[in-house]
Amino acid sequence: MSNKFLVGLWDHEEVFLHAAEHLTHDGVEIYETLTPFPVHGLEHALGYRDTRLHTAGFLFGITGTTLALSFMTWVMTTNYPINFGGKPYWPLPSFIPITFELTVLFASVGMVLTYCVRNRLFPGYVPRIYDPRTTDDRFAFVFDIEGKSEEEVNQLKEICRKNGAVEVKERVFKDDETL
Amino acid sequence: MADKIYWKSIEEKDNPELFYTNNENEFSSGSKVVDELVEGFPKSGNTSRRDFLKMLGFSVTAATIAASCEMPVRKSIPYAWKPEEVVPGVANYYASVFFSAGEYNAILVKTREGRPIKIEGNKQSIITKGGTSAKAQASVLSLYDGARYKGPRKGKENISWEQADKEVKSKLDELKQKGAKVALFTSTIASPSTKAVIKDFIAAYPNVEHLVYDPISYSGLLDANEQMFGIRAIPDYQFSKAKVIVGVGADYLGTWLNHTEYETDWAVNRRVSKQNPRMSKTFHIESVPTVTGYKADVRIPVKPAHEEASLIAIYNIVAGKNIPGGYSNPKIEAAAKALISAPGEGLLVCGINDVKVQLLVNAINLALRNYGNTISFERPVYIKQGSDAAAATLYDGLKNGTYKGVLFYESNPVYQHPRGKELADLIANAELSVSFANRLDETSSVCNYVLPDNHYLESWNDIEVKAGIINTVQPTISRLFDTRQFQETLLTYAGKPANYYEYIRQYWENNFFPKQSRYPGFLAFWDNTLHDGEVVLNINPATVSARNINIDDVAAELAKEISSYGEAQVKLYETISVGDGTYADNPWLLELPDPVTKVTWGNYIVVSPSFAKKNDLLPDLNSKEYHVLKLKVGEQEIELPVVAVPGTPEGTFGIPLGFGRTAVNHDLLKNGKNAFPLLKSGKEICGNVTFSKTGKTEKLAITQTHHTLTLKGLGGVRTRKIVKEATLEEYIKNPRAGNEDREEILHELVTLYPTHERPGHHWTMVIDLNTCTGCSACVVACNAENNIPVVGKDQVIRAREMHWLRIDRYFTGSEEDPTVVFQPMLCQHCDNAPCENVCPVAATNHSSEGLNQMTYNRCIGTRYCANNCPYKVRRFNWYDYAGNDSFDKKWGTGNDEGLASYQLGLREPLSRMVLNPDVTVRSRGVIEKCSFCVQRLQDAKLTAKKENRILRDGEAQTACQTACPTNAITFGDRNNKEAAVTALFSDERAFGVVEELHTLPNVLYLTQIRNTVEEKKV
Amino acid sequence: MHAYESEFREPLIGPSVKNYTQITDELVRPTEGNPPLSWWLIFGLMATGTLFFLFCLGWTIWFGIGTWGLNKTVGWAWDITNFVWWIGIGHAGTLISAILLLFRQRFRTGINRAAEAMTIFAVICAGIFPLLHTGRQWLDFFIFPYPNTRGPLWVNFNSPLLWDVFAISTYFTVSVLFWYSGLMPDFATIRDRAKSKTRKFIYNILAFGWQGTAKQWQRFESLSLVLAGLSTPLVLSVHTIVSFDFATSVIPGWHTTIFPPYFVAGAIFSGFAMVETLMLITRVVFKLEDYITINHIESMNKIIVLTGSIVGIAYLTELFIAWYSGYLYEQHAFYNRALGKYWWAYASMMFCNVVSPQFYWFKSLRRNLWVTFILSIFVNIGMWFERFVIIVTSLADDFLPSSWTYFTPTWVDVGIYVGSICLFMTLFLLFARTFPVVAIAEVKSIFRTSSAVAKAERAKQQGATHEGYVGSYQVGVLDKDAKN
Repeated sequence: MSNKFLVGLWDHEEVFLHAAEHLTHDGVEIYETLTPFPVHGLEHALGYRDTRLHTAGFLFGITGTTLALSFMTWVMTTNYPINFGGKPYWPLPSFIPITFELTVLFASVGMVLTYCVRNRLFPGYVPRIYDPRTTDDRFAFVFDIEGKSEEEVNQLKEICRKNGAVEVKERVFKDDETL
Repeated sequence: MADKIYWKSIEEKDNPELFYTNNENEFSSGSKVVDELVEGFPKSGNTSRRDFLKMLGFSVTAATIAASCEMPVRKSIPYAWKPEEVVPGVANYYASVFFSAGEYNAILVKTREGRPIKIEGNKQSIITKGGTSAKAQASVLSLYDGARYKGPRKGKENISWEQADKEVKSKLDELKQKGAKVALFTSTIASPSTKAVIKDFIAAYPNVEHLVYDPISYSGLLDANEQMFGIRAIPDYQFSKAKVIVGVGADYLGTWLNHTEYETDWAVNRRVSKQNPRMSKTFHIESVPTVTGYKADVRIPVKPAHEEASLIAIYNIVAGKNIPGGYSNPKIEAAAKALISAPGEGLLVCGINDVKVQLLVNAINLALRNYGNTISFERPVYIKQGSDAAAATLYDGLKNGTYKGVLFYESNPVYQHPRGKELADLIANAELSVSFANRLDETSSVCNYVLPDNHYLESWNDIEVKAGIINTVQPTISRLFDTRQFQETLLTYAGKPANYYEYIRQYWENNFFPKQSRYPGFLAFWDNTLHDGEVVLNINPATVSARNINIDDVAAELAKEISSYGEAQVKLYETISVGDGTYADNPWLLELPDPVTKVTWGNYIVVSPSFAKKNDLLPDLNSKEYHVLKLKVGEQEIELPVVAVPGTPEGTFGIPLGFGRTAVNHDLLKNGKNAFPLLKSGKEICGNVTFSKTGKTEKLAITQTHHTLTLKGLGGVRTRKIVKEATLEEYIKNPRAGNEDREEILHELVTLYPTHERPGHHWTMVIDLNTCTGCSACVVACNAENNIPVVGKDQVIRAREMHWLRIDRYFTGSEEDPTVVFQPMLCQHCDNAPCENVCPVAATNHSSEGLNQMTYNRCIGTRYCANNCPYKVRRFNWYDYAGNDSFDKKWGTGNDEGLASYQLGLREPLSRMVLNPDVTVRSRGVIEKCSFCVQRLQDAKLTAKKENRILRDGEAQTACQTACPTNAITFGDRNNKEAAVTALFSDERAFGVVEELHTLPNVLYLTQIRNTVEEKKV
Repeated sequence: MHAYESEFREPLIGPSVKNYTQITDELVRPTEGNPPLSWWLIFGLMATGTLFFLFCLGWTIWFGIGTWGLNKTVGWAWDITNFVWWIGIGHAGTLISAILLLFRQRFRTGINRAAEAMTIFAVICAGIFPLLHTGRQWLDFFIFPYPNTRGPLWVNFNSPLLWDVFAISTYFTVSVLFWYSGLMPDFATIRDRAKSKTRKFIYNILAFGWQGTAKQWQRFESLSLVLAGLSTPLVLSVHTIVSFDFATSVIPGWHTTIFPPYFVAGAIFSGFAMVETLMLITRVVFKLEDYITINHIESMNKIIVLTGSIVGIAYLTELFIAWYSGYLYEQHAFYNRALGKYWWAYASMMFCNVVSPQFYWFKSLRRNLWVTFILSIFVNIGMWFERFVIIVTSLADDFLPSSWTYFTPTWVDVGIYVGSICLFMTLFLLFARTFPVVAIAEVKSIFRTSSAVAKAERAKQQGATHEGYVGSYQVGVLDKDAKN
């Protein structure tokens, strides 16, 4: 993978948003987009597909529901039926609370796990920090310039400035670079 | 001689050191894994961090395991030589009789592996007919009492029997030489053989005088009969024949004379049904409320003086006289008229120990022709024979030195005699003083010799409580300690062969065998008698004729005496629990709530609510702080907390006797104050009382702070339909009387759910509120049967008593003259049990036989079930009451006072011998409750199964049921159409408590029917 | 670009906040350097209390539940009272983050982080009690349906107590997930400011290696939205199920269908009160007045007066229904509550929960910090008494008068309750030291719309002529707005 990048930094989300639109419109290949907080509409500007996370959540939830219901039914009717206070062996109303809780539990846990996996988030994962200020007050586009020629790079720089970047810099990672 | 050592196993016995060292490292044996782990640790001093972590991990797990699997090491040893009759796991029953502290019960002793563990009534007895009393039930615990003498003693030190005999005999001989008199001071002796032994003893020592004294004396009654009929005996009161019963201060359902018999007889005419809608009518004139009064159709509260005065009034009416000084009111007149209306079918009994009073009573009964009908001298009753003179004789004799020596048998005058304190010194100074007490008491602790008698469950004896009706006492266990039966001791001194068994047999062969025709040979006679425990001899009935006594003078004299009483009087009385105090060191009885006051662990002064209000002596019911009142009677003073009991008239101070024992083996057993010193004249009523407030308060261990059922709700004054009553008239008109609403309730009980199958049995209990006297025998029986722990005063004050079965007491009507209902409350085994639904761990659930089951091992103690129980019958083990926890018992109870069960040694090997091996001993932190004596049900079912037949009705019986003297409890299988319980279950009188909750209880109650006219109640 | 916000809507970020960096600095500062002395003082006190709490726990487990004031009739008292109280408090956090998010309430951003943390700590405190109140705590694992050698014997799915177990563990898990997923970006912020390597290292681990790429943010938004959607019914279900402990029983005063809504309202009520108590302290100690503004406080006070009144109506309904039912036992239960031996508990409940919030009808009082602080304490006391009244008075006098008793607590009861508060505070203080107490990224995301500065700026651009006030903040005002 490449270690040489060009980082364009913006300081105002609206300007940045315009830039995003222009760059995508001009078909500039953006390697990575970094913002300190979610900028509304950015994903559209960059033409991202909608995430399917919620679909996953739904599936997880359904799993929880069926699991809870079938387990309780099995226990109370088949595995060890006991007469509690004259209630029938299959007291459906009593199952509702637990069924609901497990649905929510499965959905949430499942989703968060998926979320972490898809976002490459787990304790100890060391990301590439193109510029520390991207979690503070800077909005950044990162371009892969590995093996790109001098003028291509300058051209990129130019585009960024034209679109209101307050700073454009090159960032080269060493292979063994950590935080 | 040294105390007897109890050991769990051969190993321990032979090599205690090894045993204990083994016990210390509890993981040394059993678990291989653990061994290896332990091995794993370096023995050297320096442990690395990893070792530490290992250790930590291990100890945490170990702790968890140790805590969760409660499996204390138990070693069982097989019989080397199996005793005949003893089949491990199968109970043996031996017929015997409980005759002590003025109580008589024909009993069966249940033994398991040679240990007596339970007292049952002897159904074959024609006297008590299977009924038992609370004291009889509790007597088994006294067998394993730590306070028992382990062997003969001289002063405080233990000596051998040889030495004891040598010294005592020589002393007796010496006194005989000197011609100095020796008193043999006993309470009533109803044993013919024992009397014979004493005769022999006196023959050998003519200087010995036998003095008979009963602390709760019936001397007045006896003397009256002697004067009137020339026979110093108690007549045979036949309550079963009486249509009208008037009691005057005679608690014949609780403590008076042979009350167990009277209860059974009384119940005969109180059991109403559609087929037999008749019942006796009972009036009760009393000052201090008793169960008898509360059960009476018409209770007539009068102050103590008027108890006597009312008799004059009744006499006036009955005999058409006009003696002044009588006290009367419409109810008393009604009582008298009722008696007159039933000549020969009435019965007037009076509990006041006074010749004049008893003469008057006799006269009235004579006038009503009750003698020969409801009262008979055919078979005089020997339950009480003592005379008040005896006590005086002893006192004076010791004082002026006529008695140089004194022997005490089954008597404890130092505690039970009004002049006890002085007696103590006199006894101590006597040349010879011997006590035959089998356990520590006030008298034996001042005697210079204690020659301990066997416990009655270790003894041979015979009891003749009614002329010609003789019960046998047989040993049910070999002597636990180095004791010797009193009779054998006397025989030894009398120079006779010291074998009481042989002696009795001989005596029977000579005296009783001829008086029967049933058995040709003596052996058959003897064996069968032993088996049945009771034999009825044909005797020629004593014929008595009334002598002419001028009753009018007597009455006038009495009137004079009454007028000297002043405004207020003290009434001293016996409680059902501890009686005359002989058993006031019995934890079961001390924790038994008095059915009337509901107080445990101590005595108090009973006053009227209005008095308490006037002098603002009302307690703080939340903290159970009761005001202490000081009473002055003559020169005697007594300070006790005040309990206001509804139905107590003004001018009455009731004080229970039998408390305030001092010579007991733990401070926890020293409860209340001793009221015997007030009993100067031997008469329960003391006049001219003055009271003064002390400003002090004292916590009383009361289990039910009284609440009436009639409550001011938001809907105005309404009454909870927990107990249901009706009058006889109403009942005859409509069998549903008082229970009309049930039909509607049952109609309203609808459910969406299908009901569960009951293929086998459906256990059901029906309790007749009409015949339940609240005598509480069932409560103690339940304690004994189900290993229910004693929790002690402190815990009862915290409302943590453990009783599975309690007697609820409800008042309705006015505080001056309330109506009271006793309701035994136990687990109702609801078919729709609210407790079962809420247990998260499924520790309680329903059996196919309708039992509400408790799985102790599974219970984690959320107490949710107890909260959700409408009947509040579930009990929680707040502490390690029973000593069954894996936690160290030494650690006590944190911020509470120590546990009674622990401090009283109820968790020691000796006391634990009383435990019923069929019932789990519950550990700390679990809920427990009535199980319908499931172990008994299983036993009955197995017996039936072994004999390959269907279970018969009445075969499976609960402990409370068998204990009940009035058969108020019916139990059985509702699926069995023939069962008695099935009929009762659908009876019009049957109702369940708060049935509208649709709990479908398997315990129903029958309405209380009172033979009274509605207006009279108010 | 931004959702329109009226210039008259009061700013949610104070005027002194000029730009993003400043936000970052001010919000991260508390986690850097030494905390103020005030922090140390409170922390020391609370930590000591926590130790005493642990002591009482040990005492209880060693000697037994008998060391509490319970008796044969009152099987639950302070233990479950505390449990329900804490659970109630634990409702505000998730509610703020979930429901307010769904309703697009921007004011949540200032307080949601701390509120969620508070929720989690409250649930921890709550969770202790059901486990502690059992007679044999070492066997508590029986309540989990795990395969065993006893049959296998499972649990009783009919038992509301079991439902609790599931409800609370689920609630706890979901709250933690929700909270933490929001924390990751802020940890990343701290990481990127960090000077020392170790600090970088630790906060990177905490941040799960968050980068802040557009795709991450997209998923982030979707996640928080769905979690919010799930938590909303969850948060309502939890206290509903807790109320089932009582509602499904047969005891008069417990067996009431009104309980679920009434408990939930009460929970939100007490939850917000606790949030306020904490926020008012935090904003002063860490100088966050610009982020947790009077406006926030006022919004919360509005919710308090609303829920408080709901609870009040519930109380009255109970009384009415008790009378209307014509069922003696029910009637006595409530008669006894109001006028019986526990009247004082009922009175304090009524005053604290129903009367005191009514002050908030007045704007001046709503916006007065001292009033708010005192009332928030009142509400918490009141809500504790509510649970005490429901649990103890109902049990003490139920069906059979023969069993009626009175409950008096022992020092152990008190110790455990007070101790649990100390534990809660200790946890919160530690949190405030090491975590960003305000959601940095979220605050930034509303900076352009709702900060005083932005509003003023925007007003100027649109040609504001003279100045006016919105709430306590000075902003530019347009002519057309000025006219009307």
